[in-house]
Amino acid sequence: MKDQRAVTLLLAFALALPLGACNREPEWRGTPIKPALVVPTLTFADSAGALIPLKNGAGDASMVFFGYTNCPDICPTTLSDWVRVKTALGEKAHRVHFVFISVDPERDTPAISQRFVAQFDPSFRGLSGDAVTTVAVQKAFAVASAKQPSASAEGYLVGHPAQTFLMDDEGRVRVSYSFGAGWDVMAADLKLLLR
Amino acid sequence: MRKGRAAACWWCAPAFVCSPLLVQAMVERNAPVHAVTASVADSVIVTDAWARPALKGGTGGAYMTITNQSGRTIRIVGATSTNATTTELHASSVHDGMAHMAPVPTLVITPGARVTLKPGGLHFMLFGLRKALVKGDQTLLTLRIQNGDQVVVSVAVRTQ
Repeated sequence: MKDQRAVTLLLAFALALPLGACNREPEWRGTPIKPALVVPTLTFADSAGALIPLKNGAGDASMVFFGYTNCPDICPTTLSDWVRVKTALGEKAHRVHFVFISVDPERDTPAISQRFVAQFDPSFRGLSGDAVTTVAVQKAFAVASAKQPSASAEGYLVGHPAQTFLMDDEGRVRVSYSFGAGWDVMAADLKLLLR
Repeated sequence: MRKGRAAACWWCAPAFVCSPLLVQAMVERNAPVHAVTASVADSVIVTDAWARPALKGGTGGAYMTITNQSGRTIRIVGATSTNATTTELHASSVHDGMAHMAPVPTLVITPGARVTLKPGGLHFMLFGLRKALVKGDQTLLTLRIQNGDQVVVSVAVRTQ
């Protein structure tokens, strides 16, 4: 009886071992989000009115950033980093969607948002939703933005999240990258995910 | 790229044109020209001025390194560009994961000091671009120094 129990335990352990190994999180170089945020599929309209769901095809990944097109510094710098990330991914680049979501829908139309990102790479996706969608997508990613009244000529500035998020093909936001984390860090993590 | 010097030379040019006798006198006395014509702008050296691409009507950001080679503190109190409706100096900062910007009215550079405007930090904001900033192009920016001097900087548009 004792022997039988020991064999059962051993068998269970042997079976659990590879399962555990499968579930183990990769050793991300960015900052892991634990547990991962699960983002519902939100839909944006492009300038032609076509609907674009914020989701990945099987085996794909997204890098997501929230900003505004009148931002001359943090946002363009992030998009420039993404250009390097895409280059570093080589053949795997087509499996990654680089998505910029405007948090200033008042000024950024879908067309402006797309033109803004296309300056850096035409394959990048620039989205801008209505006010409700903009609030919903920020809530899903657990981020916020705020208009900053300013004496500046621009009328107002926008405080916005500074990080890039990595989202997998199940809508799970698994890793975040603070501003300046480095394009090589993002590229390394994407290679891990897309292995 | 030494636009500070170049700009100072243009700025001083009318003085030479109007005063040939003065120039002649200096040459005869073998005096160094810059000793007489020295301006604050002459001592402001700007290198590696660049900006990322930006849309027409949008906002651009310009970066550069400014060195004060004079023996006195200089204060940059503003900038203008013919390609922008307004140009302002701003500083970016990230606190608790949020990116913010705030105008910087005056950039103070002590004697011999070098200030680098770079992504994530200080930058000139070009509001209401009359022409898009396109990779490979150049745009001009004029820095205004408190004493009234100006330095014209050519800014190269590139992605990194």
